[in-house]
Amino acid sequence: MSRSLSAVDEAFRQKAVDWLDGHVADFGLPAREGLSLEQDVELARRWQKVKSENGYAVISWPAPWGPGGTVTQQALFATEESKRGFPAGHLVISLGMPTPMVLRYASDELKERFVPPAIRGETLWAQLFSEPAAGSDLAGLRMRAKRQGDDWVLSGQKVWTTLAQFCDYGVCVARHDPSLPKHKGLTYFIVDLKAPGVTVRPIRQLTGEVHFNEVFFDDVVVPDAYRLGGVGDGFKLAIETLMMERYTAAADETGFGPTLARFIELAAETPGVRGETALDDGGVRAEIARTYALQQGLVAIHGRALAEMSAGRTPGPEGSIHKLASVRHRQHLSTLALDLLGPDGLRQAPGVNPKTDFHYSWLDAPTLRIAGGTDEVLLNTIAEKILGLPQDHRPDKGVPFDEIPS
Amino acid sequence: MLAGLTEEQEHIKSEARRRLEAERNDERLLALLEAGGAYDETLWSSAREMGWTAIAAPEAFGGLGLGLAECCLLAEELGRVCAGAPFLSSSLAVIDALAQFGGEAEKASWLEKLASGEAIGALAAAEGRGALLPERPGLIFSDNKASGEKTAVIAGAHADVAIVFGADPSGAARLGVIALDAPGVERRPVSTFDASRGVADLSFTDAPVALLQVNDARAAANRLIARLALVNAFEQIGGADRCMELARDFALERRAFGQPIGAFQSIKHCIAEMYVKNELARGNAIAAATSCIEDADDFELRAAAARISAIDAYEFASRETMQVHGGVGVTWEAGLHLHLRRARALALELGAKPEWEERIVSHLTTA
Repeated sequence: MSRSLSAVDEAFRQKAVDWLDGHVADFGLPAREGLSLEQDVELARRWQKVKSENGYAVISWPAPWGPGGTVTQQALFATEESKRGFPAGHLVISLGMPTPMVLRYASDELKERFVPPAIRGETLWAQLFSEPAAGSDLAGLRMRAKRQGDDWVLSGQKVWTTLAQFCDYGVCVARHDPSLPKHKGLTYFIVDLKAPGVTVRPIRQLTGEVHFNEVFFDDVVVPDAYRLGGVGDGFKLAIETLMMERYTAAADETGFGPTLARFIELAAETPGVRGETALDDGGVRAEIARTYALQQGLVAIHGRALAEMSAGRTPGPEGSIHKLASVRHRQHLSTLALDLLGPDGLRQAPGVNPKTDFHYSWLDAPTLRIAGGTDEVLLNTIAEKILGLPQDHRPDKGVPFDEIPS
Repeated sequence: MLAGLTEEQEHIKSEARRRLEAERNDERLLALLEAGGAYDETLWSSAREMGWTAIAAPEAFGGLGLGLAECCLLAEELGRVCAGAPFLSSSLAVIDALAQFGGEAEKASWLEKLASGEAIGALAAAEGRGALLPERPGLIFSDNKASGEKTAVIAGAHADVAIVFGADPSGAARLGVIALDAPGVERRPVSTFDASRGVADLSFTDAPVALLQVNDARAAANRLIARLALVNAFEQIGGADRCMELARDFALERRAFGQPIGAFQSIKHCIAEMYVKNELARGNAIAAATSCIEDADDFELRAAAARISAIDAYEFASRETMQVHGGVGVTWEAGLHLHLRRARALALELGAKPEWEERIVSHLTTA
């Protein structure tokens, strides 16, 4: 796969791999064993600082912010980084979506103030889009933004805000005019999560961990300078934010779960019901082969996209199947891994790393099938945007927001 | 490759699409199903006229000396139209084997004829049920004579020459080439659900055979089969894409409950799942083609991944496009069953899925 990269990109990849290998012990998977989420986020911030001092932070961003590398190089780096278990995932949102939007739409003064500390991992940014009544149907959000002199006053509630408990700032979409149809009455803001009136309440997930939060806004005052884009451009900017990280984030064909090699290892050391070990079981062997074909298909698609970008062309839309296919399969394979163990599969190891632990991977999989676009939304997107099938029936289309039954 | 096609490759692909679309005629294909033992002569004469038969043959023998990439591009187009003759890939097996391991005499006898399409080739590997390559071949080569049986040979009913997998009297695997009009060769057409594949059982009784010069015949056969599987994967992907497009077009046109059925999520998601499978298969197939062209060590593993994901993609798309079409989808005239049949045939012809899954797992667990 890497052999189809340009010579420059291949040289970059090799250099990055060498550099990453030198830091695995301090920041990679081994360094993260047994850390609490808070400690892990702290490690991620320090790792970000090290990267920023060595030209590996925000690789594709132009000077003066980043080193001016390419999107391909950033994606290559992220993929190698993910393979080695570095904690970069905690900054994927902060640097992948809100900060680039600040860079694209904020005044020079605000860029200068907000962007450099974010790049060094000193500040973390959240993305505040979803609400209790607006998940897949983002434009149904209800948080109000009322104009008050030179300021705006925000009130309402956001939910599923990743890592908000550690974040300093965020970008959020709010409704400035409920008398307009739902997509039109939205405006996009920077918000200070430490400002008076902001309350962050962590949500405990089914794994017992706390990655997400509810964020309440009680008459939070936001200066008009923090508005990004025009009044009414909120939905457009929200979509732009979601499209932002398409190729810059790591592509993990395992769906951020354990590797196939780990599954094979487990099967080989587990007595089989049909055969001496589970690895001798024809059913298990078939699953291994299917997993291999699926994961290698994804690796190939991603590699082709990188090669296309490396050659200065635009990759095809097939990259959009990655999350859907990889995460769904991770759920399947993790379940099967516990099946291999039989009743002893009940015995849960204390591990809490989805990349190494099948119990945890199984338990955490339903979350990933919802976060960042549910399977159903992703299938709809493929059907509508790639195949040209019609949108679902939408009775609220064109109706003023305040007349939509709720 | 295939992402960045050369101008010549683009040309081959677009010319093939144009010609095949112009000549496609489902009624003719449906008639072939009933005729049994026949193939699409229009297609085959086009293939000869367009030079498709010559693509992979060496230039010294009147071929174009092009590579596997061009064969794959063409196979994808043939798959889209459910082509009514398997000869391009069945002959490729013979061209491939002779070009690599054939003696001068065999090359001279066959390559030119195969390149022009005057002769048709086939690969005779299986013996009865089970895996494509028998563990201990019953077909024995002794004193340049072959005796034994080969079964379910694709294009066997029409082929002039076959590459045969057998063993010497000590039981060691060997590859040979046999002219099928020679004395001692008998063929019996096999009745099957995809009649234009020309499937036949072959019996040999002291039939003259020329052995190919190869040290490890089983390994060579496996590699040969992997290359064919890759070409077939592109054919499967072409068919799967076509099924997806048919489903999409029908879902846009057909209305029920006051809207196009393509607006219902159950239908949209079904077609989107086809897309997912087709792209996974394409990803693997392109990776395998690249690996083959670069002669990389991982080629056979990648070919196996391409084959099992292409089997999946085509079977799913051909099955579910019928479901999307509803009642009309199961009629004889609608012709969707041509794809259903072809998907199943291609899933069996070069060895069924379990065999290819096992190839992957044994690679992964012994590496």
